[in-house]
Amino acid sequence: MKLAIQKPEVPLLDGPQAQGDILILPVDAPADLDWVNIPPEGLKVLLSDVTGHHHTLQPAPRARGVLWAKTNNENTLGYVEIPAGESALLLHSEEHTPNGIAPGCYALHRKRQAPMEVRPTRRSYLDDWNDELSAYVDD
Amino acid sequence: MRSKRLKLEALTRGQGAALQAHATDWAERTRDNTPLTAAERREVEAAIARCFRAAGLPWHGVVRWASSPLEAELAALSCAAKLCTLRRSGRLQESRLTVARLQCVQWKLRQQRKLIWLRQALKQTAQSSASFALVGALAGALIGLDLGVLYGNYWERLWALVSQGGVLVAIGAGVGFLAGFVAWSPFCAAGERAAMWGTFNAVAVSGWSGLHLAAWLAGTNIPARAHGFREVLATIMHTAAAMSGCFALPAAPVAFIKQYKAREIDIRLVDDAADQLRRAHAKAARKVTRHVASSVVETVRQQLRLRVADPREAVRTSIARAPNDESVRRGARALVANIVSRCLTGPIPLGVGDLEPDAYAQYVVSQLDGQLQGCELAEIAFYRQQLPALRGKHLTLLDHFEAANRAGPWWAARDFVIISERHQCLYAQGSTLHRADGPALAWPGFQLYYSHGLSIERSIIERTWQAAEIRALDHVQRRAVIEHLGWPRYLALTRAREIARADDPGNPGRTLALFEAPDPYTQSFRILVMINGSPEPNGEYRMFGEPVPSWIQRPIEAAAWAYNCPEDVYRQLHRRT
Repeated sequence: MKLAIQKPEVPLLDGPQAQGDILILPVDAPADLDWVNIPPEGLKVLLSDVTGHHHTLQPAPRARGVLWAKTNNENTLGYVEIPAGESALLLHSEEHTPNGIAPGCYALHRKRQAPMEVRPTRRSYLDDWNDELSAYVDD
Repeated sequence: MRSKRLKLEALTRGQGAALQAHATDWAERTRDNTPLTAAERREVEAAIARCFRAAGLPWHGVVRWASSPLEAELAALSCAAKLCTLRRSGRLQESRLTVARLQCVQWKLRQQRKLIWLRQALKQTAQSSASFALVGALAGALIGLDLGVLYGNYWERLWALVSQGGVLVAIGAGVGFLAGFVAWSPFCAAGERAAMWGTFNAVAVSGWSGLHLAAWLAGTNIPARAHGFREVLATIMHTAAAMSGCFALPAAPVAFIKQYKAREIDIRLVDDAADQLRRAHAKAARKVTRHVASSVVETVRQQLRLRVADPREAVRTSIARAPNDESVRRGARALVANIVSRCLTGPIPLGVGDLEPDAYAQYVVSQLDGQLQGCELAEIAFYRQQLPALRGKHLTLLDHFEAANRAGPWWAARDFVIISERHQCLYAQGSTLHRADGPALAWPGFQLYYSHGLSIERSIIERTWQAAEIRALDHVQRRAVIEHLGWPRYLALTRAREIARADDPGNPGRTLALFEAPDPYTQSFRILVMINGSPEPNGEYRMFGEPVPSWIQRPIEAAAWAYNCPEDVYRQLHRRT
């Protein structure tokens, strides 16, 4: 993991960028947030129960001022603030290459999916029961 | 001093690189499926023998090879049950040496169990004595009150009785209290609180009634003349108390015997070979891990778990529901016949066990996973590589375990060892087992199917699916099949209508496509098909689909909705990995 930091090809970007299920979106941070310092060894921001893969925010070496604020919103994981002169990486444990984040304030959005509805193939007996009931009421 | 200097506090950059190389190396070793040569097999057998001796277990020399873990487990189950039956029927003659060893083991186990029993009894007694004292005081006060009300001159009369038939009364009271106490103590030891309260009452009542029974036998009742309501009531009460004492007396030995038998159930002898082996390894491993800081341990474990697949874990979780065909059963039967005949003619069958044969076999096999997970061995090997100055006998033991685990999983018991051959194939991406067109992990007659780390049914993979067949499945099964095929293939199968296609701003050179939901689904959602920003380990870029709401018209709008950002922002996306 630490080796990834040395790789030269990770560009530091201050615009919107994405890594798998996470979107890094530059925003003005909301006022009422509890900011905490991200420890040098990094912070797991998203962990998949099924595959065990995770996304980690990793401050650059000697970057001590990178802040993180968790939210209770389902689609927004939290906010990250990187002071001028510092940077951070978003790392993925398995498949995705790292993303470099330039100074600024960003929201981390989590990807969402629409629910999938199946066409009912057959009437359930709850429907039969409802029909029976309404017929009884009509009489 | 020496041990302080020998400590891995944090991983340096060089050690980090070494860890990566080590993980790659172990992943390669795990994937290795070249069958062992005869010489290598002998080495594995010798290593297992050394593990046995190092764990303080007598070595029996009965080692057999099974073609798959399934065959090994079936054979181990039957062997354990069969040998247990033979031993019970007396057909398995144990050598004098073995009998002596066995008795030694039995004696040790009994002593251990007795100590535990005693400790529990004492603890329970101490815990409950306070509450007993309270209840005793209360009961005493009540009885005193009752007597005081009924007979003003009770103590005078009692004294008269004692002075007249003194010995008999004393014996009666003594026997009564003793009976109550005998009935009470085993419950106390068993720690059954509810029963203890009941027995405490029995102590009070039986002691009291013993006294009255003796008085009644002596021909004197405490109330001298039975006239008036209060005296008649008192006579009835005391007679009843005397009778209840008669019931309490036989109840006491019954309760004690029951308790004694219940204690005996604990003293059961089972095959502890695998357990001993595991403990010996854990002890040696702890001596190494002591020299490593906990943060380093965590990093190393995490890295290895991500990089090294663990076929043993897969076998462990799925062996119970694996279907076994005739060839596997035939192989297992041959193994059992071989091992049992060896035990009948050979010099030292060693196993212990006085459970029922079936229960014994179940126990042995549940314990048999004496082998270690691939990651555990890799972890210890890494520490040893980084701490070359470590010295000690425990390192030799760890070497034996590493050598013993070069073949497949092995099943260890006091009577026999069954080693499984290496797997025929293992397909994994990093540490996640995955194969789209066949078993991810296979032995002859035993195949395990995995899709991105999830165990799946063989039928899902080995079948060419038609759209109509998938449509006919129930919801859960359909999800599993679509998960396996991937949305893009499923959409092609069902000839779903493509609504629009656009270039992906975040992933130059790739396109996004929006499809209508295919047949069994309602039109309440659409499918956005995209291509991953980073390549898979095999260099390919994975195409995947995700559901988005049906009001979405454009692919970029769909991608923006998924990320919960405005469409313009997604158009400006700098990079998607």
